[in-house]
Amino acid sequence: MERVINKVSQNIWEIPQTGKMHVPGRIYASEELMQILRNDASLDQIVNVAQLPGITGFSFGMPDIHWGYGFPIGGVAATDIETGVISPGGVGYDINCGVRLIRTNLYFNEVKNKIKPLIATIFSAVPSGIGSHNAIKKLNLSDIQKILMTGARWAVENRFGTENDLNFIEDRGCLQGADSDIISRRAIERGLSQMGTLGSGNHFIEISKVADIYDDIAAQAMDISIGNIVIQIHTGSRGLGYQVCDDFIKVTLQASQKYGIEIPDRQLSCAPLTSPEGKDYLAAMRASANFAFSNRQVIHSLIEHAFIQSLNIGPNELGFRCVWDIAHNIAKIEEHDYKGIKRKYCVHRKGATRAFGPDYPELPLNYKFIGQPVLIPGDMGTESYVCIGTKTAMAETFGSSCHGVGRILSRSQAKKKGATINLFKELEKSGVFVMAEEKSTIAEEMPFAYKNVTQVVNTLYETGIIRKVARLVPLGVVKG
Amino acid sequence: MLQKRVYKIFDQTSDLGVIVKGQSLVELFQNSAVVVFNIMSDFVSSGNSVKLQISLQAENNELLLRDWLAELIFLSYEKHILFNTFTFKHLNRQSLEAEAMGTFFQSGNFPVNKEIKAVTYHQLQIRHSKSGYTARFVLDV
Repeated sequence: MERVINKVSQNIWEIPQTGKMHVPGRIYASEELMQILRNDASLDQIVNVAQLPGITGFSFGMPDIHWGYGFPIGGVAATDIETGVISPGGVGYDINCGVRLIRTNLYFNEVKNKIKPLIATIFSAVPSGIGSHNAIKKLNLSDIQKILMTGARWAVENRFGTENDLNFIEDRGCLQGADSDIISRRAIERGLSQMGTLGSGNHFIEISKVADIYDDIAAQAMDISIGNIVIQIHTGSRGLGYQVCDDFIKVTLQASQKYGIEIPDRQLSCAPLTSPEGKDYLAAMRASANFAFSNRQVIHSLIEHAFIQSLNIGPNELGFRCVWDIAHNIAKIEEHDYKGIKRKYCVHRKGATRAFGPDYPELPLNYKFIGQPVLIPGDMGTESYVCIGTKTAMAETFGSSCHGVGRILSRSQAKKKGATINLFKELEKSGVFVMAEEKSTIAEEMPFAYKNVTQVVNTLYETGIIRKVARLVPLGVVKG
Repeated sequence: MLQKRVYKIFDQTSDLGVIVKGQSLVELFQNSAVVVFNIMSDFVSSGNSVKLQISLQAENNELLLRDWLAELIFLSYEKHILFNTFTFKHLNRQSLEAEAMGTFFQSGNFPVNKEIKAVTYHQLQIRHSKSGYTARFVLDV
């Protein structure tokens, strides 16, 4: 039986509230993207998420939505903090997987012949691939406890970057309310040697150039201009985060039974936000998110040194500065004025980005009047977008946007399609030099495996959820 | 190496779904572990230079299978071991005592080509029929 999906307006679709759903589903998709989605299991997952206690408004699907486990990837769910639940599956295993954008003083013409050595230097400075480790000296227990409690500040205090970087990280690189004592010994062991490492799968470091500017004022606030060289880092909390998620799914499976919460999928196990189990997960997730903020800060510093070494220039000439650092696998307690009622919600964003509009008090001065930067990386062969959040996002999606492109081919389908192509050569022909620890993942991450990023971004741009600031095109990529 | 007929990889857009068969619960758990290590690495290791004892308890056989695979993956990454042989002293629906054998690898020379972040609970299932057991699980990769 085909699922009922009603078109509400241009690019907005709704799955009506039926059965055990507490709210309807709402999907942001163009006609073309909806054709891809219509028979996708991610729509069933939107329906499942709509059954979580305390969910408010809608169970959202962003235009990059695709089938995940439990929650769809590209899903957003806001739960009331008094009557609602928190679900580790609504955050995912890679807690605070996110993206950092860094600007430089460099321009394409100055470095176009130096991309290969730059990528090679970064490749050797930042360990990537499975179980990558030992980017910096192995941490001790005291270090890791400080990281879990202070996030990116630990990195800055240990000379990885500057105090100013902290101003340009969501929540200044540290989620308050973390508790390192709740993190299991096993999770800590997994984190000890992984600080400053990229990991595998779809994680990457990309050197890009700014190809188009759509909003001069916002671009000036971010200090980027056409032809500028910028860097994106995409990674998260590594093995520590995976373990924390694993530990707490067990806790919340029991909690779901204990509190009589009926869940349609074990991966949606959850606990009331007011319960000891819910509070513990929130504190542990925040600590893991802090590990990820610190990880991206350390990698930022390792890449800066790679640029200095490879180009033989000084830090002032390089002008390496964090533009913004966002989390796209996270749950945050936020106050939202939803339909005229101001309340606190736990906003789960799994494969979704916070997109706060202008005037949000915690934004740094540079962005207070334009809105929060939203970083939407594309696949490694095409393009990425820098956008900003809007008041429409605040009113309609609990200040949320998409996080990337969204897969259309499974990994095995992508591998099959890429089997006869020399993927490295194809990418190089299109001007992108790639180095990868795991050669086999290159096929899985090729452009043909993903939706068209411009379509995804335009879907939200046309609905007013985001505004476009710049388009970035890749020059060199380090893949995990 | 397992025969293709005892397992099947199914498409799950961003992750990896697996269906495994076994004549008995023991064989199902053994085959599931072998499939996971086949996915992780193409390296065919026959040596058994390391043996680890594993004891686990869970509410039912589905959760026990998930915990078994998660434990093996954790030990593999942490201790740099590729496991290849699994024997059970005891296995019922709620507990197991097993020995996992394999080969140590030097850090930096670990022949793994697919990182498995986690064994998820999504669509986790064990079915028992006249022809034996079938398990279904999704790996976060």
